[in-house]
Amino acid sequence: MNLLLKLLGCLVVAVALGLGSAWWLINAGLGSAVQNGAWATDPAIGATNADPYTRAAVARAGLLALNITETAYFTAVIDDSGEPLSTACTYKLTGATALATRWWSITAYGADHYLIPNEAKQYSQAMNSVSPRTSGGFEISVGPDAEGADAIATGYSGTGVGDPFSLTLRLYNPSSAIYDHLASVALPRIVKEGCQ
Amino acid sequence: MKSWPYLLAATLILAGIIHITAVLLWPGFVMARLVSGLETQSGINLAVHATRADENSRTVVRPSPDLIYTICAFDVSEHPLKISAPVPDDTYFSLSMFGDNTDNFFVVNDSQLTKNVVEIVLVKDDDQLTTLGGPPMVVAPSETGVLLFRTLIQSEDRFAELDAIRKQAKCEPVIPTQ
Repeated sequence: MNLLLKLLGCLVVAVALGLGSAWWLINAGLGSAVQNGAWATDPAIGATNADPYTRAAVARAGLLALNITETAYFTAVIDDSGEPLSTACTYKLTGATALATRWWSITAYGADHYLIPNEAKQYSQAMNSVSPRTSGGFEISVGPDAEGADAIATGYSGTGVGDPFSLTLRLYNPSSAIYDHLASVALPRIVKEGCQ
Repeated sequence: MKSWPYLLAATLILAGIIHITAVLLWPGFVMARLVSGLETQSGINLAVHATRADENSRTVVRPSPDLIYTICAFDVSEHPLKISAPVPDDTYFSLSMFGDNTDNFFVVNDSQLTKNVVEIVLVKDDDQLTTLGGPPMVVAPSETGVLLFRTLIQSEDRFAELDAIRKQAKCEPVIPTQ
């Protein structure tokens, strides 16, 4: 009886450890094989030679993501100072120059990996929607009060401490200058301006 | 004799096996759930024209609100699948295919197409390659999976036009005539 209880205890601990560690790794985000400032990516996303952990992460946080020959996906869960992104804070995203890609977009997602509810339905900004600058760059405001042109709303209601969120930068048909230099290509800076 | 070292070792080994099994099975489980959901919602081997992504959209994980999606769950176990769609002018358009393990095994975009229409036959194995003629063929690495048409909403003024074009996308089984 004593042995049986011990074996049962071992089984419970093994299941909890095995499933818990698997879920923790699967839930860690869409790959962080390559870090570029606040942005992370994994060139194996969607690839037919992806390892099991990348496939599992894609299934959790990027199902139906294209492979890198078609699209490079960069995700940020932190700002440039390393602080987790919060819906209660306002951030300025600055692209100094044009991104060498056919088309790009930046979209905000909640912790559940879906679009964040907000009254303005302002979920993203893209190459064809931001105000052009002479340098080819752009500036986007991300935060609770962000509305109108060049803004992405995070839906913060003004109560509580805010929720974590993430940003995805999509680069469709990127030039080789991007996918050959994922860790060093110039990507938008994410600077916190303040919190409510 | 103390048994705890053996129990600890067995627990860790079992935890490792459960961990690896969960990581390996998770992608197939998620894809099977997606295919099953689409089959229940509208049927298999049928194009479904999703509404523009908003906070209520749950078909595609991390959807892009700048794109409009047409999705088709496929099952080529019995018949090949003919896929066709007109290609809109002056905007990004792609057709991508995903196996039952989430791998993006095929993608083509508007800039790679020479015609204003994309036509492809999806087959399950090499045998079917010799029995059919016509459009280019793609061999699916799994009998079930999902294919996705993406169309960029190049400007809000063009939304109605692009939405009407992408709704002409089709998935239809190729059933031999008797």
